[in-house]
Amino acid sequence: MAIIDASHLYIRYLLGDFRDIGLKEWMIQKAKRERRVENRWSVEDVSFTLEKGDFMGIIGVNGAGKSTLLKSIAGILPPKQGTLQVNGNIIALLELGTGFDGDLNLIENIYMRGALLGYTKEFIAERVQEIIQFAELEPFQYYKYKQLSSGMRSRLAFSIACMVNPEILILDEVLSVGDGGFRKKSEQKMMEIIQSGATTLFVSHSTTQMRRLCNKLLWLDNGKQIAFANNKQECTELLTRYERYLKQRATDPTVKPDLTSPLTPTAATKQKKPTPTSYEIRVQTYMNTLHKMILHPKTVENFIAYFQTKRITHIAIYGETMLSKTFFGLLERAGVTIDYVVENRKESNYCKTIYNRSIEKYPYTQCIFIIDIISENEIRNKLRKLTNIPTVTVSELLNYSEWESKSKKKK
Amino acid sequence: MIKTLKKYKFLFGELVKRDFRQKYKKTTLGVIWSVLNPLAEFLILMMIFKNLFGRTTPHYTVYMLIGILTYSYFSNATTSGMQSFLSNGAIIQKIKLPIWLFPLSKNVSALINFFITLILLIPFMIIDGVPFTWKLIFLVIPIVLLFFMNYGISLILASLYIFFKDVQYFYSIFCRLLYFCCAVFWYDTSLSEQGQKLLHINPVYDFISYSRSIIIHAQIPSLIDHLVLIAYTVAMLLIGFLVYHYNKEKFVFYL
Repeated sequence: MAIIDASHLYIRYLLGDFRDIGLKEWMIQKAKRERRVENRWSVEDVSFTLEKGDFMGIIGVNGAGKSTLLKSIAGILPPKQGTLQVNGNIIALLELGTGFDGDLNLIENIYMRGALLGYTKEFIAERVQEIIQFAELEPFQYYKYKQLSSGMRSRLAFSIACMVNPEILILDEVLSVGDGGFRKKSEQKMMEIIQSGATTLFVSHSTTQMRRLCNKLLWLDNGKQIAFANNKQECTELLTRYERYLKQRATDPTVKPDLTSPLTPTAATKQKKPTPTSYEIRVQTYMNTLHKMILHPKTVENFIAYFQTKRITHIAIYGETMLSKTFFGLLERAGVTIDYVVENRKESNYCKTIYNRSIEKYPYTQCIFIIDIISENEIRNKLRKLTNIPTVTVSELLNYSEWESKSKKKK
Repeated sequence: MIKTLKKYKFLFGELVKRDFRQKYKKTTLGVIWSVLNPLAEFLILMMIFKNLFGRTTPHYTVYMLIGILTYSYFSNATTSGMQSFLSNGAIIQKIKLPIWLFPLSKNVSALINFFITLILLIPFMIIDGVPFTWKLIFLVIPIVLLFFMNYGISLILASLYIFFKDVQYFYSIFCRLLYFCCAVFWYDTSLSEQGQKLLHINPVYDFISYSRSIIIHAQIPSLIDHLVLIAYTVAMLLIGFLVYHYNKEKFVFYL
C-alpha cells in the first residue's frame, strides 16, 4: 500500500489585501464591492505516489508552492480538490522554533515542544536527558529558553525533533543545524531516521543534497507540476535540468522550464564548479599577490622606510580585520602603533560613528592606512568627508600595480 | 471531541500550565495576584458604596463579592480566550492540531484562577455571618455552566478576532456595559419590576443572581432559572462551534 497517494491535488491560497484590514476597511471594501481577495491555486493539479522508504525532494523557485504542498500533507491546509491519502503517523518539521516559551526553562520547554509534536509524556520523560545531551546543553538545562543563543536554540529544537521514528517525515529546509561539529552530527542523526524506513518529503534549495538523497523528485513551478521523477536516474537528470533553468533564469526571468532539449554532459559537469565572479577573482589575486609582496625584502624595506621618513608612529587601519592582521608584523617592524581598525561595512553610518568615537579616543593618529585595494578610491573619498587625517593606500606603499602586472605576465 | 481531547491530553495539560504561568510571569507575587486583584477591587468598591447601599441591607459584603468574582472570571476567560488563536498563530500555522484546544486551555486556566479567588469568599462569609449550608453544593451547576458558556463566547470572539482586530475594543466596551448591568455593587431589587426583567437579558447577571440566592439566602432557584442558564450556555456553545466550524479553514490564511 502506498504511504502517500496524491492525485490531482488543488490547494487554495488567499491572496490580496485582506489581512489586518480592520472593520472599517472591510466595510468600505464591501460597500464598493471590490474586496481585493484573490482566490488563487497555490498548488494546481499535482499527483504523485510514495512508497515506504521513499525520499522525495521538492524543487522549484520561491513561491512555487512547495511549502504549501508540505503543509497540506501535514494536514494544516486541507486540499480543496483532488484526493490525498496519507497512511502513517507524520512528524512535520516545517519550522523548528515554534512552540517555545522564553520564560520556561529548557526541561519545561522540551515537554511543551514535545507535546506539540505529539509525543507522549512517558516518551519525553524517558528521553529528556538524551535530548539535552544530544544538544550538548547539559550545563544550561535549568536556564530560561530566552537566555540561550540562537545557535543553542536551534540545537535544542533539532534534538527534540529528531527523537522520533515517524513513518512519514516532512522536512522544510531542516536537515541539519548548528555549527561545524553539530552540523555533521545532526545530519547524521537525520540520516539515521530516514534510513530506518521513514518516507521523507524534503524541500531544499541545495541541489547537491537532493542529488545525494532523492529517489523521487517533484518539480513545481507556479503551483503546477512540471515533472515527477520516479527513480534515481531520472532524479539526477531532472536536477540537472533544474539547475540549468535556475541559471538561465538569473539572466532572463521569463524563461520557461525546459524538459526536452538535450543535456550536454559538459553543461552538467561545468555547473558543479561555480564560476567565480570578477570581484571574487580580484580579491583572490589581491590576496595572493599581497602575500608574495609582504615576503619580498624590497617591499619590506620600502614599507618601513615610508613610515620612518614621514615620522609616523600612530596610524589607524581601514579594511577587513583579517586582512589587517597580515600587516601587523610589518607595521611592528616599522615601529608604528595601530590605534584602531575600522571594518569596512556597507552601512553608511557605521564608519561615521566609529570615527567620531575613535577620534575622540585617539587624537594622535597621524595617518589612516587603507588596505582594501578594490575600492580604495571610494573609501578615500568617504574618509575625506569625515576627517582631515591623511590617508595612504596599499597600492601607494607597495607598488601594487607593478606586482599585479608581474604576476599576470608570469601566467 | 472527547476522544480528541483524550488523545491530546498531555499537550492540553502543558498548554494549561503554560497559560497559567504566562499570566503572572515576571511578577514577584505571582499567583497571589489572582487573589489580590479582586480583593483590591472589592475594597475600593466597598469604601465607596458601603455607606450608599450597605446600610439598609444585610450581607452587602458577600453580595458584592459574589458579583465581583463571577464577573471577573467571565471577563478574564472570554478576553484571554479571544486572543488565544492569534497568540498561538505561529503554532497553528506550523503544526497540525485541533485548534479549539487553545481557547479551551485558556478557559481552563481562567477557571483554576477563579477557584483560587473563591477562597476569598470564605473569610468574608464568616465575617458577614452568612451560614454554610449543604446547599452550597448547588454552586457546581452555575460554575460548570458558566465555564461552557465562556468557552462558547471565547470561540466566537477568537474566530472573529482573527478577521477583525477591532473586536477587542468593541468587546472591552461591551464588557463595561455588561459590568454595570450585572448589579455588582447596587441592588437589583431597587429597580422596577420591568427593570429587573430586563436585567435577565444579561447572562452574567443570571449566573450572579443564581449564586447569590444559594449563598446568601440558602435558596435553590426555581426551575426556570435553571433553564435560563442552560439555554444561554447551550446557545453560546452552539453559536461558538458554528462560527468556528465554518471559518476554521480560513484561519491559516489570516494568522
